[in-house]
Amino acid sequence: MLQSEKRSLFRFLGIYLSSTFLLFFLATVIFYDFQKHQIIDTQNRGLSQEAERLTEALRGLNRTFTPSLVYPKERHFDSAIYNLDREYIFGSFNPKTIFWDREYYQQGEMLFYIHALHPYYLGASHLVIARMIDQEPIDNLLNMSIVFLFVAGIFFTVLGLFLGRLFIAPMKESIENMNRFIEDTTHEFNTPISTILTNIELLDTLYECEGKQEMKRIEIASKTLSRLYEDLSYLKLNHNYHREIEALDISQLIYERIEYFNTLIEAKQLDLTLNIKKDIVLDMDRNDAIRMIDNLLSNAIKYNKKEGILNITLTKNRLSILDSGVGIKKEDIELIHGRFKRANMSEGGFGIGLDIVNQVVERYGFRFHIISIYTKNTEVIIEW
Amino acid sequence: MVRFFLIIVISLNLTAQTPSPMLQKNCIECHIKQKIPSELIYRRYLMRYSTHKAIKKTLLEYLKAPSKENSIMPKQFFLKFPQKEALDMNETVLEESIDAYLDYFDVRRRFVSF
Amino acid sequence: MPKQSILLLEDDLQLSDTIKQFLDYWGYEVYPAYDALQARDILYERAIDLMLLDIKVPHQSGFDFLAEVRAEGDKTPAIFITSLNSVDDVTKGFDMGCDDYIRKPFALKELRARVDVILKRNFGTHNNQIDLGNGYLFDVKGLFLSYKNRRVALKTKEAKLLALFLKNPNELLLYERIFEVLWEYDERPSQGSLRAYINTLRHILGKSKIETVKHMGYRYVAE
Repeated sequence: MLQSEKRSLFRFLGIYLSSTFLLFFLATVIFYDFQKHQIIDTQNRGLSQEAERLTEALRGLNRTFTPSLVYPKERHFDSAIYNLDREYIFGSFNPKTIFWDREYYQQGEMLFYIHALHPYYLGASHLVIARMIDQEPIDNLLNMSIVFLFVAGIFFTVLGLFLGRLFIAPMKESIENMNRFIEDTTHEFNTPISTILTNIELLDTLYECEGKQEMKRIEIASKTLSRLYEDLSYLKLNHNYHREIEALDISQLIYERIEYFNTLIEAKQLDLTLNIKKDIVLDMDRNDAIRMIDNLLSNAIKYNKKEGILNITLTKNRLSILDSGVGIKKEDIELIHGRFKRANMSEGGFGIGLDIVNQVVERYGFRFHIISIYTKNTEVIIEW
Repeated sequence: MVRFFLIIVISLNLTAQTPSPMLQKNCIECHIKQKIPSELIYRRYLMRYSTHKAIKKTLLEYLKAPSKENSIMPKQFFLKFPQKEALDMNETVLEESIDAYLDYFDVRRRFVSF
Repeated sequence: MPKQSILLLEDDLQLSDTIKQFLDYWGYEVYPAYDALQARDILYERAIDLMLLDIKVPHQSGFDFLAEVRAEGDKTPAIFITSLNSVDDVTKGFDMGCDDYIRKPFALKELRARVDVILKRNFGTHNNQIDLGNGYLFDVKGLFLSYKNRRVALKTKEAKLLALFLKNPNELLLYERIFEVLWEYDERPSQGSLRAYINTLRHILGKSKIETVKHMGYRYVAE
């Protein structure tokens, strides 16, 4: 999976999962709340039933009116009777505060029920019953909700992953199609380019006309085409490319590449100065080196003035290419360096050339600087 | 065992209270003679008026001007018992008597926890 | 004068013509094929010294073609022409038994250099000439014999026979094989003519150099 695909997938998963979880969490909370109320209601009904029993008991007491009235007490329940002025008559408990305006209410861990009596047996106009909330069903409910939430979480995550894959499938397909298209297209370029270049060689072999202007132009244009094709292929194949790291004679290679670009250099009548130390060797794959050097050289030539300067310096630790081209603005240099931080393909401007240089630089751990005076010159330095 | 304790407790309670002399003279004596159940009357007032304050107010009114309408006694009992006559006592004495009456039969004192 | 023969399998007509024209100019005999079937035909009609195989050709890939040919025991050296440089292609190529590969687009000079190397390898040498002793030198590229720097006149078939011996030193060469190499598919091989050629070569190299294996063939005895 590509970086961009991963990013999309994670973004999607993020939004999807968080919104789904939120919704589900809310639903669970509401459900829990509702169920809890049901449980409380049930327990309230219990209170109500108890109130009936107590009322009966009071009625009985009222009838007998023995000199000693035993206040009826049930297990789990506490109750008290009050008269019309809300004065405490008697009870199994004497709560400090009673919310007389409510019928059923919860205070702390107890449920209260205020029952109006009529007629006022034993003078009692109100019966207040209370009990501890039976936490067990509530705890069970909570556990169940948590388990439910957890299971739902797993389910939604799995669903999300599946949906996510489905979601990027078309994008993935598009990218693959595009890659395949690029691959097929660039592949097609190859043979005609080969034909052109080999025929130029053949013309020279048969008729010795290498010096002709027309030939040179064809050669230059074909070489440009060829380089572009190579660059595109390189970018496409980069991860799948058979690298042979060898002790590469960079000095020699630079001379070779300059030779390759000779026609282009002559066409612009550039003033070429070479300071190439001999026998500089780096452990690199030959093709990587060629791609890097070719792009640097072609930029230095392409953006140069006619009769401009081209200085190439190679020392033990660095390669410097200076051209008197149009130069790069300071902001753009920063932009170039900034752009490399995001692993993007070219978005215009300098083309894919510098992207390739940067890829090679990163691969081998080199360093890459651009020093430019706008409208005067540009120097590109690779250090290792 | 429990019943034994119960009987002790009950009898103790019975011996705890005696009516004040005033109450005795003004109300209880006549009631006992005419077999009018004072306690039942209290109970009935409780059932209808709940608070002593309310009972006192209504009792005061009744005793000053007793009639069939404001009597606590159910109508059928008028066949057995005659209508009470108005008491000729001064207000304060009447009040005190009522207080004593209510206090004597006070239901709150009778309660006992299980 | 005999020429080294090269089978060129390339389906692009322009590129094929270009390579053929170039190699022909430098003294090779190039037989072009535009798909694997044609390549097969050529391989069996003629004695081929080297195969240049493009990989992406119709009907059968260059890889598969070589694999089949190798499986049938053909040891003719092959150079792959490939567009890509992916890991698969290169290792696959060598696994198939190719001797070298060259990437498109290539310089013709480069192609020629590699062809030379491989052809010299056929003779077991890196040099342009083989010293046969007694002042005789055999030019590996041009397939001609020189004595003390002067060209020795040899019939085409004699030269081909000598080349064949030098490519397979100390190996028994069956009559069938010799016929295949010396005579084109439309020519009729002759036992008698062969005996004559052998005589000529014995004259030049020394009788002991070419051994007769009765009813089977001949063997060239190298140092």
